[in-house]
Amino acid sequence: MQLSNKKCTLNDNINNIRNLVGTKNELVTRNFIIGKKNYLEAAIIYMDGLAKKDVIDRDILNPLMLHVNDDFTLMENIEEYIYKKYIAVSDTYVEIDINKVADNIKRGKTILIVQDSCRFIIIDTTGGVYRAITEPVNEIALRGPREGFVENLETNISMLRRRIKDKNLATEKFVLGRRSQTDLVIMYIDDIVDKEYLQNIKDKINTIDIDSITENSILEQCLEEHPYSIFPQVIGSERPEVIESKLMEGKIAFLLAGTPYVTTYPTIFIEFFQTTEDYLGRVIQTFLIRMLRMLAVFVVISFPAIYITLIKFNQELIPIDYIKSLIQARKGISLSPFMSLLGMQITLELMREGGLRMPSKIGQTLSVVGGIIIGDAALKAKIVSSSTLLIAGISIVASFAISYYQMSVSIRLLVYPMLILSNWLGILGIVIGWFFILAYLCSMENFGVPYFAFTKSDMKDTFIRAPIWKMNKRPELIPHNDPTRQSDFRGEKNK
Amino acid sequence: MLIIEKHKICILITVTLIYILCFIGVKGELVENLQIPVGVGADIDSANTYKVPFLAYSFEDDKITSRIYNGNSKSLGETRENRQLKSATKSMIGLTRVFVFSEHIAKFGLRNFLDICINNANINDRALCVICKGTSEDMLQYKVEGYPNSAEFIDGMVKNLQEFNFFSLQYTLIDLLVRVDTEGRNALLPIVEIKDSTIETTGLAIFKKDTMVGKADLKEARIINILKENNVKGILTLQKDSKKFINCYTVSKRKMKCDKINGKYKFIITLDLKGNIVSNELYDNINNDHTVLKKFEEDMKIDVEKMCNESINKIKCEYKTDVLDLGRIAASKYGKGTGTDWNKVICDSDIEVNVKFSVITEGRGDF
Amino acid sequence: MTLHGKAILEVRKINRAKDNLLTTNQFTFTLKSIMVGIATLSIPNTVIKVSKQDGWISILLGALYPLYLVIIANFMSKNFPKDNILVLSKKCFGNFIGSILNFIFISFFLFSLTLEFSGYSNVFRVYGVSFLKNYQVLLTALIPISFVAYKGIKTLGRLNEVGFYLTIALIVFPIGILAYGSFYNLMPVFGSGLNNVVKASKQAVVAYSGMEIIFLIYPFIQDRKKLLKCGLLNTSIVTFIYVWVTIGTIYYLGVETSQKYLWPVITLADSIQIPVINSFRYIFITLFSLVEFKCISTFYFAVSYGLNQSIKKVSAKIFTILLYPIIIIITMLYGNITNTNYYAEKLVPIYVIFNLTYVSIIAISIYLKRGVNYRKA
Repeated sequence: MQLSNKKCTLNDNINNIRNLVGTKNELVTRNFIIGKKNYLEAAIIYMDGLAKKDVIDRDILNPLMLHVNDDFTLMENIEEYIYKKYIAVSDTYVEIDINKVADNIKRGKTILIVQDSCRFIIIDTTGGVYRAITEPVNEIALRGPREGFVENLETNISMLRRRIKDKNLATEKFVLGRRSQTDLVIMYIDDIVDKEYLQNIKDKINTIDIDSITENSILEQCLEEHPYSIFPQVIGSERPEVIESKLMEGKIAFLLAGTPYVTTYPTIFIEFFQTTEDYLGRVIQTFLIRMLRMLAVFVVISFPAIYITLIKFNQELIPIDYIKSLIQARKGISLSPFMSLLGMQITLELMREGGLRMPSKIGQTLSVVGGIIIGDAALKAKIVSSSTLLIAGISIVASFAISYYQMSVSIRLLVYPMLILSNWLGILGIVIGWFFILAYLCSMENFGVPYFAFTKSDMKDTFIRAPIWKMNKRPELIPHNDPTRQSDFRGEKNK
Repeated sequence: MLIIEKHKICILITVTLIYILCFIGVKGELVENLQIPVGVGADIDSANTYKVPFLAYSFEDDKITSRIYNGNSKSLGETRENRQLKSATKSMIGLTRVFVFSEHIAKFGLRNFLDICINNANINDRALCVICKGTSEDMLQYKVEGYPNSAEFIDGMVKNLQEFNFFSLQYTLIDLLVRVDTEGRNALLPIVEIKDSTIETTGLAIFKKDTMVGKADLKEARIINILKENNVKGILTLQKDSKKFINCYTVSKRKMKCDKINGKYKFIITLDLKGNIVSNELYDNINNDHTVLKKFEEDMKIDVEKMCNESINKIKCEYKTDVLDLGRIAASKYGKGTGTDWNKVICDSDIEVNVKFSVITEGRGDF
Repeated sequence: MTLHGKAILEVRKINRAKDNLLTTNQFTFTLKSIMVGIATLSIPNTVIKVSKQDGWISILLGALYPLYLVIIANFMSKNFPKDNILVLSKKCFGNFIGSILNFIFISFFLFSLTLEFSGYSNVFRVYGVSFLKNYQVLLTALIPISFVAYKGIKTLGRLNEVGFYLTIALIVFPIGILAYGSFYNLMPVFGSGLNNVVKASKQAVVAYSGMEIIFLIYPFIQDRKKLLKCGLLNTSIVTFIYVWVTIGTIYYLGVETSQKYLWPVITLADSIQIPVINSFRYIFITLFSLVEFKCISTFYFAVSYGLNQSIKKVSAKIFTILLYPIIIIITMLYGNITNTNYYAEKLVPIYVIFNLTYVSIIAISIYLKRGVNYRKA
């Protein structure tokens, strides 16, 4: 037993650790004695609130203080002997690097230091109170499981591991944020994911140098290739079954400690229009609903613009039978159709934005007051005509049919430039607007994966949803290594 | 390329400036400030001045009325200028329901009018065309009870002509345009006139190219229709006296065949008539007795054949035009663009009509 | 190599979006989009003038031109898969003459672009936006077009793939006219004589121009063996579209009436009545404008890429920006439709003959020097 190493005294160690972790916090140091004859001085260090005190008391202090009878004078590797014999906690190991020791304290682990030793025993006593697993509030599915991710990273990982028992499910850990030092774990299935893509992402993550990362969106904004684009480029979810199916396609999931929202890379445009319900329902119904969503996108962007061109520039294309009532409705309106449409859209947006944060009881008053009374009053005051109000209302209502909230916001924003273009240039404006949107979508690429592309083999899941037993191949747009998902077990050959 | 990336803002500003520049000077008129011509007339007076009255809506506080805006000038396009001098709103073309041509201009020639219609992209190609007796302005100004204006009445009336009298819905502007110059085809338009304090369709106008060369009264019009059109409906009657007659609501399908024998053309028109008995006092026991029904079918067949064959010889040379569009059949078989004058050829040709008549339904019963 | 391993390699090839390669679908649709342009609207008139009701047969015959180009392109691709025709012509004719011929070849695309654009502006100002002036239409419309050309071949390919389905909608809708026309207009078949049919097919060839871009972009295709299939598929799609349009026009309007219209195909669209909207014209014009924009942007890309390949120092993106004012100026010079058609009828046949000889000579010289290590400074 070498006790001559003077620089590793107990107090020095404790002081060093204290300096690394920070002096103004709830660091607790408990000195105690191990053994009876020729006893050892020892100390445990932990952060109050992060470590589970009953584990410390029961499984560390109790056996060490009360049940040790060995004689340590002639022993080598005291630390290993102690933790292998007396510490009844799983996940215990010996660490030499004092910086890693400090990191571990911040995550709730307890450090056991023996006198005159330069090595530290790290014991996993992570505790703390976290939110229970409940169904996520923002994503309701009628038939799916009622589990949702929580803020605790280990719980999240465990939820995914419970669902995917494949031995190739891999996790890799990163620490991000200079001051927040948040843990990021990326999960993927090793033999499906595309290695080059994975390496790209990992390199990009390693270049991030930021103060703190509070949420997955901050990470997304640091990583994405088109930061000024109007369209969201990363999709995520709080439901584990959604993430599970995305992992199966060869995507990489990002789990960040402290947030229940898990994002997956890469993401393509069509994913923003797919929901869990699609896969749990019938094929024909899903087809109709998906068509409805596509129609909703078109309606939201184009209806107000088409209305303005018809009223202002191309009157000969208005249906003859309708022209009389249209003119009667519009007689005497003080604002031009462009102004009234713009005003109506902005009013409805204000109402929507206001209703978002209201407590539910006031929210109902808001919808009654806003929708019915203001609309009616605007009609009577001849600020807008009834057809204008109808068009604005349809456009807003259609935007709620878009399943992903961020995408519906983006699409709603596209209405305004389209309105302006159509007011200036008529049909040409609408054509230019749509062409520009399509061209812009086609030009977006994230780490080599095109954002807006349709391949023939992916059609089984784009606009229609083919029966589950027909989707034999993984989607081509996501880079992967293993194209076959399932065999043709229900096909004609196997009847 | 790096320079371009750095100056992305520059490019964005340039683009916005270009769009703003292009916006300057763009003016569109809102629909409520426009003069919507529901009915358009065309007329020409003895001094060769074109008169084009527009019948437009005027909206006053929940009431919709219409008034006439007249445009007179020596050439058709200038009538627009003349009309704008008398209007409070911007004059527009398009959203027309009905074109009313007076007999004068139909006899003078419709080519200029059709030309201005092809030229203008805003014209409603599916507006209906009619010929009116008298001036078109009188027709458009006439107040029909129960309708905001006469144009809507005429529009509804012509659209519903196809229910009876074997008329077909072939009187739109585009139909007229196609038939005027196509080889082997001729245009026909319904004639409307103000009769007995209402507007009534009284016949068909026969056109040779773009000028009207004759009028067919309703009796002749029915025969022309049944021979010319396919899949038309009308009532056929066998009548002995004012109390004994049988009416049959028939659907007629027509097939044409053309042969050339010794340089002379022979046309065979086969009519396949399917009837629904509407009223019967002529034949007893027609519903129960098989032979009576057969006799009736035979009688009807003979009667229709006689009627058609008699009229055909009159029709084919009377108007000196190919009224029944037979030239088209011949041209499609023997070659187009050969310079044949189908009007003369048809007059010299043999036309034979074969009729097949069968009863489909007999209604509820027989009184 | 095991089956599994081979599958991995193939999958790897498909997923490499960052290589600038086009999938077979994108390649086919890019070719198709450059050929279906403004000529679609007035092609019936060109052929009806000479061969009357047999115009559609002339168009079928005219398809021989793009077929020939596809076969030659396939042949060149087999021998020199990575070099587009500009490089090959320098090898064949020598640097100086090759560069001059290259410039003439590229100028063909520029010329076609301005013709198409001017034609489009004329059509649109008659049927859609009569209140806009020529320069307003040109300036504003060229901006998103140049944006697409700026972003490169991958964006263009994806856009063309997505936009192909728009063209399908455009062509399918006029089926409604089948109820109104009559077959008599189409008969007698071959009534106008074989001579006229062949003469008209020479005019029809003009409508197929644009296929020459296959020589510039065949290095971009992912799977070289599929080049012939792509080209044939593309030719048949375009031929089908043209024949359908011509037959529809003759069937519905008849030979004489269709010649009265400058763009008879839009009259077809006008005639279909949809319950809610007055006529189909609005939808037709919008969809057709999108198709036309794709066509012009493909031409634009061809010009800027060709210039970039000739003058390697300046990148294609800079050429895209430089070309913008040039195109505007040239297009404004044309003015109305009669002038445009006049220049088109004069110059496009010359270009077609030039292209045919240019391409054939290069192909023949490749054939003759096959096997010999052919290098010219």
